[in-house]
Amino acid sequence: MFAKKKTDQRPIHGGRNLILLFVIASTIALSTTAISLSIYRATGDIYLDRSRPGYIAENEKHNEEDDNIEKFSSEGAITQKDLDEYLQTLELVDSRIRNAIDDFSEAPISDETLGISDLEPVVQESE
Amino acid sequence: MTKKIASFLLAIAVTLAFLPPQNIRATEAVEIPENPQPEYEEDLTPSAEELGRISGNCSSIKLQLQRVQRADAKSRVHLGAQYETISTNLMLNLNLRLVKNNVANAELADQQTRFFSERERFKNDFIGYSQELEKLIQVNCKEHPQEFYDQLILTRQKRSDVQQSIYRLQELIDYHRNSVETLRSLL
Repeated sequence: MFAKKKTDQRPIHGGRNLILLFVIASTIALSTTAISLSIYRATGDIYLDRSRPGYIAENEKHNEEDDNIEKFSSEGAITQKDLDEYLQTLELVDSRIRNAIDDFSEAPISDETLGISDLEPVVQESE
Repeated sequence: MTKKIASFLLAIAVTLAFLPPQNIRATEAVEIPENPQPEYEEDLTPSAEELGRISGNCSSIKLQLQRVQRADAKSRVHLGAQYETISTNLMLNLNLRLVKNNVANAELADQQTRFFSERERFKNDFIGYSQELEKLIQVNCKEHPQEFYDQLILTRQKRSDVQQSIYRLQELIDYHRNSVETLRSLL
C-alpha cells in the first residue's frame, strides 16, 4: 500500500535553471535599456533634458521664479487697457530674450577664442 | 447647450490655427534674408601652423568647448522658456479672447502659427548643433587636427543656424508687437 512510487522522471536542476533565468532576465533588461538610451540620444531628447545629471549645474540653473509671468487671460472684453497690459508683458519677456539674443554667435568657438589663430579673441561688449 | 457647442468649435478652430502648416516651410513665413556666406567660410583650410596649435592646445580647446556646451544648454533653456511664454501665455490667449469678442484677427492668428513653427525649428536646430558639438568634443584633436577642424567648421554652421532661428523669432516678436499696437489704436 505504501510502496514507493517508481520514479523515472529526469532530475530537476534547480540551481542551474535559476542561473539561466537570471542571465536571460539580465540580458533582456540590458538590451531594452540600451535600445531606450539609443532612442533617447538619436531623437535629440538628451540635449533638451534639463534633468540630465551634470547637464546644467544647480548653481547655473535659471531662477524659474523669475520666469513666472502673469498669463494674459483668454476671458473678458478687449479694451485698450487690456492691450496695454498685454504689450507690457510682451515687453518684459522680449527684454529677457534680447539679453540673450547673441548667445549663439560664433565668438565662443571662433579660431581666436579657441587659440587656433594667432589673433586676439574678439571681446564682445556687454550692454 | 449652444454655448457648449460654440466653445467646442472655438477650441477646434484655435487648435487648427496653432498647428504648423504642412505645405509652407517655416522660412517662407518670414522674409528675413539668410546669410548665404557666413564670415567663417572665407578661409576653411587651416595652415600647418594652425593645425600645430590645435594639436598643442588640444586640452584647453576641449575645456573651452565643454564650457560652451554648458553655457549653450543654459541659454537654450532660458530662451525656450521665454518663447513658450510668448506662444502659450500671450499669443494663444490673445487670439482666443479676440475670437470670443468677435474681433478675430487673421494676421495675429497667422503670427501665432508662424511663431509656433519657428519655435519648433529653433528646437530642432539646437538638437542638430548639439549633436555636432558633441562629435567635435569627441574628436582626438591631438592626433587628428585636420579632422577636428573639419568638424569645427560643421559645428559653426549648425551654430549659425540656431542664431538665425533666434533672429527670425525676434523679428516675429517685433512684427507681432506692431500688429497689437495697430489693433489697440483701432479700438
